[in-house]
Amino acid sequence: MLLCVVALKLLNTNKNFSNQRAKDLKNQRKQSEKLVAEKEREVQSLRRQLATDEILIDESLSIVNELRNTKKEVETLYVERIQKINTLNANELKAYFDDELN
Amino acid sequence: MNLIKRTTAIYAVFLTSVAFSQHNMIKYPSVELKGTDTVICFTMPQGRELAKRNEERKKFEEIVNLQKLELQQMDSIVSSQQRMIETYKSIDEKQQFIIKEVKGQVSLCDEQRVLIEKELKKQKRYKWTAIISGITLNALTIWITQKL
Repeated sequence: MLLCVVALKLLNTNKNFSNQRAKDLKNQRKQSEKLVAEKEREVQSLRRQLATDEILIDESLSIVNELRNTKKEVETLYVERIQKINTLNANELKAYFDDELN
Repeated sequence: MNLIKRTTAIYAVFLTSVAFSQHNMIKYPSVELKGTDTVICFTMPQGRELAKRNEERKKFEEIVNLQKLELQQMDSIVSSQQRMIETYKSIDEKQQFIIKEVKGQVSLCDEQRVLIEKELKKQKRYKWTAIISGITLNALTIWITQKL
């Protein structure tokens, strides 16, 4: 009878130990899950920042393209003006300089 | 008489040609005085050349302004891209941390599984021990009752 009681007691102690270990493991996992969730939120926020930066880059690139197109237009306009200058007579050339100087 | 006339004529032609050539020798641009104004005269080709150079100057001014703007935009792109690189590095660090944590969670789960399996085995052992003990006790009780 005494042996039975001792055996039961030992079993109970072992069970308590197992339960405590399980509880610890659960807590550790919960802590880790919390950390992971926090890091994931931070990653999401960084991804949003990346998206904003990408939009900014796209906008800048489109502005750069516009500027390059404008540069091409300036070149074309220059060629046209030079061709026009080649055909100017004396009075027109005088008018040109009048415009430029005043 | 005839010879004198001919010589005079030749001399006149010579003088005219010299005067004409001198007139053509004027170098432009030239400085001339018109009334009280001092003016600089250009030929038409020189005037056109000046106009062309003026147009070229205007073109280069416009291009320089456009390139300054382009440079500003490029600078902004470079800084955005640098920021993106930093952000990617930060994301990478965080992902590495998450991977490490998840691996830790997996090992915790494994440990928990081992505990549960042990517990399950123990419970099964208890169950059979209880069944066998019950049967033995019952048999003993029946046997003792019959003996008595």
